[in-house]
Amino acid sequence: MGWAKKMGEISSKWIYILLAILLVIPLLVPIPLPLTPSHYTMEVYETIESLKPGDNVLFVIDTGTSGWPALGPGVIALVEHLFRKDGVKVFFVEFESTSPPLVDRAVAAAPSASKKKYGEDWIHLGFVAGEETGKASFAADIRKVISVDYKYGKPIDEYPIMKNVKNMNDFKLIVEPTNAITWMEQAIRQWYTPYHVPIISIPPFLDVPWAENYYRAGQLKAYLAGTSGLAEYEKLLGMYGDATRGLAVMTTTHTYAIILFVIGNISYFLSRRKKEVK
Amino acid sequence: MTSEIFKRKELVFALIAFLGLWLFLDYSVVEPGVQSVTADILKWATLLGGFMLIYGGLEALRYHSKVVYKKQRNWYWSAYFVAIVLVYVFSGLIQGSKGMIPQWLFNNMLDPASATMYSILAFYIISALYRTLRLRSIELAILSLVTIIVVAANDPIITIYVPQLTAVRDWFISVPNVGANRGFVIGAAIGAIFLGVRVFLGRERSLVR
Repeated sequence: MGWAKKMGEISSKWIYILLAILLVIPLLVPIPLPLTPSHYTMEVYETIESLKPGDNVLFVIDTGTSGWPALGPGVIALVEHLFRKDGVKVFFVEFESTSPPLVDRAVAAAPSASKKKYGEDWIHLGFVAGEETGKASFAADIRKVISVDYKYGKPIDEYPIMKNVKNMNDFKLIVEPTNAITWMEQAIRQWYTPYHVPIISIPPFLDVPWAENYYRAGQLKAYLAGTSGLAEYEKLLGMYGDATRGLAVMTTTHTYAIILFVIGNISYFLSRRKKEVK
Repeated sequence: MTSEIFKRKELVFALIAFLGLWLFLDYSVVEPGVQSVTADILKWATLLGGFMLIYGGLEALRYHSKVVYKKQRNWYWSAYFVAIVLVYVFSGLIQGSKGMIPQWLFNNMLDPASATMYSILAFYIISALYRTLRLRSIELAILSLVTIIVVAANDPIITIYVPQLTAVRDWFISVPNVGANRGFVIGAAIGAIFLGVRVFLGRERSLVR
């Protein structure tokens, strides 16, 4: 076997071992990287900055446990930003069944959460079944699908934050990080189209090109794109979180991917030339 | 005799058509009376969604219990499933969803297992990129080139030296990608409208087979 052919047939085992090393090293040894926030990130930031005291924000965590490692840092950054805004009230709700415990995790990780009072500044409404139908139902009348909060199991009307909040018309903004683009599409169909409440999202990274459709059509107000988008947001807030650490991982692994692509193609062309010469 | 009436397909189609047209009316007409009835219909649908979750869980439990009972192939995985479901459900019923055992199972089993499943994708993607992105034809060359530009544009080290890559990536995502996707989305939406019309007219009979 010629060396050119060998280059094109590296065992998966070695590819995986090297990838694992390249994934772990940047997490152990922080690599400082320059970051300039893109216009996508700036739009999300400015949308939240434009909120005024008394505005209600619906925060829908539909990342599920599978999407949390990738999207979680962005969720924490958005929660932190909303909690920094004086007088802005945050309502957490989930339509994905594994997501409810993630709200506590996000709130616990947001440094400004300690300044906010449960039931007055924020509330966790819990899980609503039925996916898209659940979303439509929630938008039409919150009390028809939720009677008690998730955190303490008390009737939601006992909390001051729920006063004057009846349906989707009472929200100024929807934030929906999601691990499947279909969740975001449901929100656009059931919330943006009938009620015109702007939506900002963190779509799953593989679905960023799909989210762009809705962004260009104006149905999605803004979104954070990929690990770089999340890291840029952390930078805007002055946080050093998992997204910034993840960006270093992206650098090593993406460079590795490009090197593998080049090696694979050099091997392919050299092997083909040898065959032609024969 | 009464039960026979409820089994009639015409009744099912009439119900589907009525509910579908009502929701369509609500979407198009802003009328408080219509909206109030719609909220009730949607509440029933949400309740049904909740019941379906329970039904799905019970059905999975029934299937895997049968596999364990008959000691079919890989029955021990089914036994593991049944054990976890029973522990999770009963501990949740006794301690509540925020109890010690359900929380421990969530944080130490479901959460890391889900994250691992998702993370494994990285290994498959890198292997696929190495083995399949070969410049064998013009089509593959275009696909490979765009892929590598997008990958490189997401690499902060590379964009320090070639900042123009970001603009090229954004152009690919916002122009050719959106153009192609819109065609697909609009085509699928028109298909969905016609499917809806067929359902309302009772022509789409696969629903009640």
